[in-house]
Amino acid sequence: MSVDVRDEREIKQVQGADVWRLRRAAPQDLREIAELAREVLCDAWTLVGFEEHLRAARSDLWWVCGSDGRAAGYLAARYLAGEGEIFSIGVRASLRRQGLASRLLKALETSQEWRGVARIHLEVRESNQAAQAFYARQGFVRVGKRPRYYPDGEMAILMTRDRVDSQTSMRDAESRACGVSAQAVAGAEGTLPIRAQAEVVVNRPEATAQYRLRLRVANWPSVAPGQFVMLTPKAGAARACSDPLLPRPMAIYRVFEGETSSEIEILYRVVGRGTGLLSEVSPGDQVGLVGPLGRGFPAPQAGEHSILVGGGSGIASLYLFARAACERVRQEGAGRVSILLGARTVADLPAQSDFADLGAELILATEDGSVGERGFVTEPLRVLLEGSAASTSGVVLYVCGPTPMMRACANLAAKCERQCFVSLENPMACGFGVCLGCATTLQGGGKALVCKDGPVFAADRIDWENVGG
Amino acid sequence: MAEFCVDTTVNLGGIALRNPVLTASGTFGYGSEFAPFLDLRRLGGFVTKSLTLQPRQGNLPPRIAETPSGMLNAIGIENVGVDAFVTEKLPQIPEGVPVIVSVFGTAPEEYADLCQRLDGVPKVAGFELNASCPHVKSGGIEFGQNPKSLTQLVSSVRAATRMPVLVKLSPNVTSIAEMARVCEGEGADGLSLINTLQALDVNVETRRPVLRNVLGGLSGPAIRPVALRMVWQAAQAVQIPICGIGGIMTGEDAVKFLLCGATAVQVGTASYLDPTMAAQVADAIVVYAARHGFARVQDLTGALELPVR
Repeated sequence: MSVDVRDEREIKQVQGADVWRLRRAAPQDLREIAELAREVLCDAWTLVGFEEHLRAARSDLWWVCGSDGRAAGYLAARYLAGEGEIFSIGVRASLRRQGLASRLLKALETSQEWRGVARIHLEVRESNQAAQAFYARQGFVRVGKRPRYYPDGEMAILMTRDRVDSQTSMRDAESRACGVSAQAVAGAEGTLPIRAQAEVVVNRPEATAQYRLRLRVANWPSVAPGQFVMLTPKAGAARACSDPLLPRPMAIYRVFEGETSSEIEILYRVVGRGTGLLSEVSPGDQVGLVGPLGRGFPAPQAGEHSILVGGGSGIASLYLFARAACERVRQEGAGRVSILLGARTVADLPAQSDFADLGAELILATEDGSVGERGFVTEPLRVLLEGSAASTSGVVLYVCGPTPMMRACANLAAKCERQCFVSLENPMACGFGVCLGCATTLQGGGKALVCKDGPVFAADRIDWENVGG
Repeated sequence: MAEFCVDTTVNLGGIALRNPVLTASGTFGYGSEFAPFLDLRRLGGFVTKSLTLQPRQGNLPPRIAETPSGMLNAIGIENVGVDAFVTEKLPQIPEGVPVIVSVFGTAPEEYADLCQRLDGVPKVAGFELNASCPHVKSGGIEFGQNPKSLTQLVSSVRAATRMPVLVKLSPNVTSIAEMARVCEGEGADGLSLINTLQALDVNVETRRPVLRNVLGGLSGPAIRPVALRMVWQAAQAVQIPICGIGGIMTGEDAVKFLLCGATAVQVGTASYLDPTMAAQVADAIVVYAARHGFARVQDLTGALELPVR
């Protein structure tokens, strides 16, 4: 990630250092950077401040260092949800007016992490005319003032610049349709969620009360199977809606990744006022989105027989995992995937053809017998588990559906001494660990948050009497 | 883009705030949960989840339910405890964000002990006494509903710390003015109001209360007019600054509280809809002030034009 600036002759001649490099700062560089900051700024961060900055999520720190280890300049910034903020730029006095600051800015903006940043903000002291002139040359415009913003009472000038190249290109959507690979199953949960206004691309009914929603989202991070998003219909300028008030958690069904934006697909059933409102949004409308959230399904073990059981709207949580599990079996030439889907009637199974395309064993059950076996999906599951009772390789259940169904699956798995993971669907207000409303009770009396510690849990950890879903 | 020149600073009982928008206790975790979405320095400050001396598990689920333009909750003061807050949570908060610690206990001594432990801890700017949580078995609302208990609570804490102390009042009282005067008389630096309204909802299919705890606290836009009324009444009764809370979702909502006498406001439930909501409210107040010719946001406080009698 380092950029060589050896061609900058003017820099080379000054200060004795023979080579200057522009690169991201590492912890061992901070002492030198803090030293420079103290020299060039009146209220610079201390070393501790730089250390905190480097530890913070999505922070960025670039510097120009000489072969003798000295710092010539630095730039501290941060990017969040499509917006970036520059905290501080400093260049050694003897090296100014040689383009170092603009090269730092360019390095930042052209970095992989900043490709989705649509707007950059900064604040600058009113008295710092040189910095304001620099930013103006870089295309920043003044958008406001904040009197008494700094601790010493000085006014801050606010400046922003919009990025010009926000072209979306959907690259090779079909071949990357699921947006995850086998590796992603291993835990893309480390990815930080974003908050965005997503644009509705498609919102169409597939069957009675069943909808398929496709949203375009800028700067979408990678997703792990089993993660979810919180959606607020009618967000943005049109939001006057306080009833229903809360966003709705929705499983991420599929992802189509693009260069600067991705499209995520949601399957939902209209059951109440929240999903009713969601069914009314049209292509072009904005939907508030926070995600991807939660800890998804664990990666299957090599050679295991993965049994996926989906019921009703819970089926949507399983597709990305099913696809990754099938891919893994293909790659390793070992293991087996069985998919069992249950619903009241055939119209509640809009996803069955997507699952069928995966090529794995697919068993359907409907309560009215309109497709597959008549009855609950737990019956074919029982048959399957008993049939594989002698199997010495791992058999693992991955379940999402109504609580009674998940509980029945957990009981069957326990009886057959098979591991079972369930994805809980407790009501939640925020989705990111703050409202504490989605707490579920664990065996032994402890609590876990479905949004943050889950939604996927080992079934034997759950106190099914006090699950809360 | 228009350029605005508005002084957004306010002083909330000795706590200097960059802008008048804080986030409400219980809706903002310990702050770090919002780091992926929001630069906390865009806020005036934030109030933590209520802390107790020992960690608490909270109530059994279900703990929340949506209601018309609002929500019910009965979390039960689940929190990591004061020690884990200081060692694990506080270091994750960036410098320059005033942290107001909400404290909770079952006796005045517990509140005082908590404040004493946190007095002088870096980044802690002041305290908010939760004297109004409506859904725990003991403590909280007992203090907020009884003037004598409230007197004891505030005087105990006042003796334990010289840092700014706000008292969060319950709306579940007959006279908010009386409670406000008690706090002022015992040396509180400011008031936060309102906490949630005690409430109940029922699932007719199961014939059960929607919450396991039966009763919960109602929040969200549904309570905003009640909150405005109480802030206005409290502001008439006392001189100490008031932090207005109750269903704020927009800059206009916040301005209403300022006009009714609040010095600052807290955004609560709305942060669940959009984690950047409080910062958006702060930006919108600036736009309002500029549009109406106010050079300082603090000049909005109490600027309600009343009809001539």
